[in-house]
Amino acid sequence: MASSSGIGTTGTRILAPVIAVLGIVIIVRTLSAGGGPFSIGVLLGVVFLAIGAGRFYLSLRAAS
Amino acid sequence: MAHRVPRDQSLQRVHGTGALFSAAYGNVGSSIYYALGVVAAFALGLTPLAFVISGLIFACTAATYVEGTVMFPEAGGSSSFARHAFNELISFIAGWGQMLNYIITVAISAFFVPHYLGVFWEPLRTSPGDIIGGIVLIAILAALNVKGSQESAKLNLVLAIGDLATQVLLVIAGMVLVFSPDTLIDNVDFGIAPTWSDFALGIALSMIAYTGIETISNMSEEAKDPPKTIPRGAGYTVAAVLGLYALLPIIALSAMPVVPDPAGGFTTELGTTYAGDPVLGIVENLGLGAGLTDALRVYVGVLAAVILIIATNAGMIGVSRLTFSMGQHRQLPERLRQVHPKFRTPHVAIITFSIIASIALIPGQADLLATMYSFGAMLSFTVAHAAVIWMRVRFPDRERPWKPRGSVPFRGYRIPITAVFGGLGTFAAWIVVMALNLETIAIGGGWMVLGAVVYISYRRRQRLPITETVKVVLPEPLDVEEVEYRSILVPFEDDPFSELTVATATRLASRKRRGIHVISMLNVPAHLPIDAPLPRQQEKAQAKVERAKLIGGQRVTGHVQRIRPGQAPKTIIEEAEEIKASAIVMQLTYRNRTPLYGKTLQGVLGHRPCRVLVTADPTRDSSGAPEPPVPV
Repeated sequence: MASSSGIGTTGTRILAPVIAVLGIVIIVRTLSAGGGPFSIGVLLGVVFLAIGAGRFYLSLRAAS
Repeated sequence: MAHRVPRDQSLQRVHGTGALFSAAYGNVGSSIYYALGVVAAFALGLTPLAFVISGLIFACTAATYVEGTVMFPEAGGSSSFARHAFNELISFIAGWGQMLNYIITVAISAFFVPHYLGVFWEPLRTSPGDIIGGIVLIAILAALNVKGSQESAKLNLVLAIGDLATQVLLVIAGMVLVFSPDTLIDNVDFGIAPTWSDFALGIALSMIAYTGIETISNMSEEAKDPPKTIPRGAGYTVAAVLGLYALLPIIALSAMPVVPDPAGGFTTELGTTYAGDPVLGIVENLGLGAGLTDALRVYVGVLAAVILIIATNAGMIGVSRLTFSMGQHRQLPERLRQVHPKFRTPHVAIITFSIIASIALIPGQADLLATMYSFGAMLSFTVAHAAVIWMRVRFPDRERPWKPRGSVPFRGYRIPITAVFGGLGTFAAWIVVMALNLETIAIGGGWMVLGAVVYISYRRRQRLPITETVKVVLPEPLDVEEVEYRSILVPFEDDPFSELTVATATRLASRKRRGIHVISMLNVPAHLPIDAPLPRQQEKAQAKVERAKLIGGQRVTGHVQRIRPGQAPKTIIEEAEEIKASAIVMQLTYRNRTPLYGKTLQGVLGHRPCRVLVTADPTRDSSGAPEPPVPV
C-alpha cells in the first residue's frame, strides 16, 4: 500500500506541474488580452511558473 | 500434417500499405466534416494556414506514434508509451486524456450527423433537432455495442475510398469553378481578421481535424512488414490529409469569403450559416446548376452522415477497448470494465461513457466540444512526444525498427526532432486552448481531477502502489513460442469457457486477421428438433465466442454450431478440414483436480486432422476462479 510520505511525494509531483501550467496559462491569457510584459497577470503567471517548476525540481532532487 | 511456420519467418500479416492508408484515412478523413466550420469561425481567412500548421504538428505526432508503436506493439498509444517511459501515474493521465478524446469524438461526430441529414429534413440542421438526433444516435450505437456488433472492415474501406474520392472531386471542381487567389488575399487582415488570439485558437482547434491518428498505431499488429508499411501508410495518410485539409479551406473561403459583420468584426458563412455542415456549404457555393447542386447535396449529405456514424461508432469501440486496457492495468475500478453476463461486452463502460458523451452534447456547442477534444488530445499527444523522447534516453540501445529522420544530440543521446517539434506544438496548443477558453480549463481540469481522484482512491482501496504497474493476471499461454500456425481452431462444447485455451491459441496464431476460429457447440438432445428454440443454451454458447473475441481481438471469428450428442469430434474434425486449420487447441477439463479425457478429446486425438494441442490447468476446475492481481 502507498505510504503517507509516498502519497505526499506523488501529490507534489502532480500538483507542481499543474501550478506551472497554470502559470503559463495566466501569462498567455494576460498577453492575449493586451497585457504588457510587466502587467499583474504576467508577473503572477511567472510566480506560479517559478513555484511549480522549482517545487517539481526539488522533488526530483530529493528522490535522487 | 500440421503446417508449421517458424515464428521468426512468419511475418505473414494481412495489411499492406494501401490497406493501412485506407483505414487511417477513413478515420482521420471524417473529421473535416465538422472541423472546417469550427476552425473557420475563429481563424477566418487564415483557416488554410491553421490547418497547415496543425498538419505539420500532426505529421510529427504520427512519427512519434509510429516509433513508439513499432517499439512496443501493444494497444494504448500514448498511455502505453508513458508506462514504458515514465510510470503508471503518467500512463493513467495520458489514458484519461485519451478517454476524453474518445468521448468527445463520439459526441461531436453524433452531433454533426443530423446536420448533414438535414438535406432531407430541415429541422435536423438546428437546435434542438441536432441535439436530439445526436443523442438518439449515441443511444442506438451504445445499444448495438452492448449487444456486440461488429464493424465491417470492407464497408469501412469502401467508404474511406468514397470519402477520399469525393473530397478530391470537390477540390478539383472548386479549383476550376471558384478558386480565387485575390479573394483569399482579401480575406486576411493580419491581426484584425482574424485577431492573433483567434488565429492561435484556430490552430489549436484545427487539431480536431486529425481525430483518429491513433488508428495508425492500433493497426500495427496486423501490418505486413511493419517497419516499412506502417511508416509508408502513415506517410501517405499525412500527405493526403495535409493536401486536402489545405485545399478544401482554400476552396471554401474562395466560395464563402470573409466579410464585415454588423457587430464590427468579421465573419464568413463557412463559420456561421454552414458551421454545422461546412462541406455542404462548399457544395452549395460551387456555382453548379440547381439540379446538379441538389444531387450533389444529397450525395454529400448521405456520405458525410454515414462516415460520421462510423466515426461515432469507432469512438465508442475506442472507449470500450481503452476501458478494458486501463482496467487490466488496474487504473480503473473493476466495475467499469465489467463484462455483460449475456452479451460479454464491457457494457458498464459503454453505457457510462455514452451518457457522458450525450451530456457533453446537450449544450449544442460545437466549439465547446472542439476545445474539449483539443484539451484531451493535446495533453495525450504531449505525453506521447515526451515519452518517446525519454525512451531515447532510458533505452538508448533498444532496437527501434523504425525511427523518424532527423535527431539532435543531447548529452550523448539522439533526440528525435519530430518529437521535440511535435511536443512543443501540442503543448503550446494545449496551453492556448486553456488560456483562451476558460470553460475548457474548468471542464477539462475537472475531468482530470475526477480521474485522478478515482485512480488514487481506487489504488489506495486496493492497497496498490500509485506509480507502479500492476496488471490483472490473465492466464499465461503455453510456452510454444518456437512455432506459429496460420490458422487455429478452438472448439468448446459443454465445458466452461477457458481463457487459457484462447490465450494459447492467440499466441500460437500468426498475426493474421481471422487467424483463430472458435466453434462453440451446442448439444441438442435427440428428442428435440435440431433447430429447437434453446435460448439459454444458445446464449451461453454465443457468450464463449464473444469472450474469445474480447481476449483475441479482431483476428478471432467464431460461430455456434448445433450438434447431436456424440457428434462433437466429427464436427470439430470437419470444421478443421473446412477452414484448413493448422492446429486445434482444446482444453483438458478437470473435476476435483483429476483430468478428464472426454470422448470428444479422445475422438479428435484419434483422427488428428492437424496438430492438436491440449491446454491444461489443474488449479482450475469447471467452476473457474477469479484471477488474483499481482504486481508486474
